[in-house]
Amino acid sequence: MEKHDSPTDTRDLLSIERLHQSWPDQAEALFDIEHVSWSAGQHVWLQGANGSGKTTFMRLLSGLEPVQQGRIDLFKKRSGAEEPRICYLHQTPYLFAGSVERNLQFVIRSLASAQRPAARVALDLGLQLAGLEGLRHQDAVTLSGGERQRLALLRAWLLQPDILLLDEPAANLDDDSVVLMHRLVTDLIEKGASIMVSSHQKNLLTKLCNTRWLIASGTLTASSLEAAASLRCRPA
Amino acid sequence: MASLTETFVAAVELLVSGDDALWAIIGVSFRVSFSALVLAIVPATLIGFALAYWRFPGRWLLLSLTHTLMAVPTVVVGLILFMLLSRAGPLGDWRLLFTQDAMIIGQFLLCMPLLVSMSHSAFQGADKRAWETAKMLGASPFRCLWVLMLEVRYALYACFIAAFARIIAEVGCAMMVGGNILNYTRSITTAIALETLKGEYAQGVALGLVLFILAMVLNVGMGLLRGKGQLASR
Repeated sequence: MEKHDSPTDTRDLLSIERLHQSWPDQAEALFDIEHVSWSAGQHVWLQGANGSGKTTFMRLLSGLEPVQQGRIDLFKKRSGAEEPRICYLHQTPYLFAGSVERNLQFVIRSLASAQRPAARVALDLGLQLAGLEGLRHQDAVTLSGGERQRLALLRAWLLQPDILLLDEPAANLDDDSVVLMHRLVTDLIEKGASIMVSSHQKNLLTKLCNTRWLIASGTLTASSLEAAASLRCRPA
Repeated sequence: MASLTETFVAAVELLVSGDDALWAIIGVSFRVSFSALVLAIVPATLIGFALAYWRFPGRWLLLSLTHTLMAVPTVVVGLILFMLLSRAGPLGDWRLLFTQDAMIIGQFLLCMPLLVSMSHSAFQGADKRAWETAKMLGASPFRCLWVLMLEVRYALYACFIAAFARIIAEVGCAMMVGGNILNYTRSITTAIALETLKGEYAQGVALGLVLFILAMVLNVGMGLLRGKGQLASR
């Protein structure tokens, strides 16, 4: 994945050019995407049938899968700025051994030292937003499915990524958990993040999206969605 | 020749009486094997990780070679090292033959294939999401590797214990490149071979008991680790 300074004022987050990806040892292309760009403030609902390659597409964007042909370019916010931080959340999250707090401290230790004090302060607020304040010292392995998803999202929330990719985040979650996740994602959007949500069903998280990307027959079609939530996006 | 019971009693007496010669031999064995293991652990674990996580040309060949080297008799490794380190050999100038350093090199070579193969299996069975999650949360590559090692820590412990057990119990390589010199390169296994030839069975049995107790401790340790390493949903 190439990383460039953004052309002035376009505020493009990333662009995809002539992306051709196929499964190993298979001639048939999984994707053949000519050109797509993703701008700041666009929140994408990624749709597609089972097996259409939504997860692979998100992993490609996050750099977890190597691009076979073509290019995915990530743009800096401005010349000299840090590279945009992109975070992909697995459909089934992986939690580190140890307590809920230890999982969150992992993120804080990954931040630049100047950002750590603010992140330590934000940790308490994050636990409240995610409804995990009573589970702070509980072993993460013992959490329920919804709590695990919320903890995984809370780790990303602490990281404050520029782009957050959520792979089927609401699958098998109860309504309360989806509401709590919606709170965290909304807060991230208000702080300037752009999100992509893959989901088969409409839910609170997909309602945050204003753009639809549909993967079908190996191509990606972009279309506009009516943004259901009016969000105050602070310029980054 | 003394009866088996008398020999066994004499062996236990030697052990508990703190016989200097006996404990010097035990000390050499542990020092050499532990040094070889410590030197091999880091490169072998990194190679095992690389083989498990990256697809590159020759990977399959390297894996096959590693598995083959595991089956090479210790005496053959000793022979090759002897030829390399002997005065006429290409590494003769190093003057390492019949030293503890030569024994450490020999045992390093013996445990590397086992460590690489077992750590490769451990990493292959690891949950890839551990690495990916750490990477997504901004961790450095070294920290990602550390997270992955924690994920497979029980398998790695077992790998280290198995490697230590292999090298402390080997006789062929230690005999050939160490030379079985008293108070210098005489290890538990080479001493057992020598004392048996001399008809001094008590010391041989005492040293054999040490190896037996060590094997028991290592196996109990591995059993405990296997119990802790049960599948857990994360």
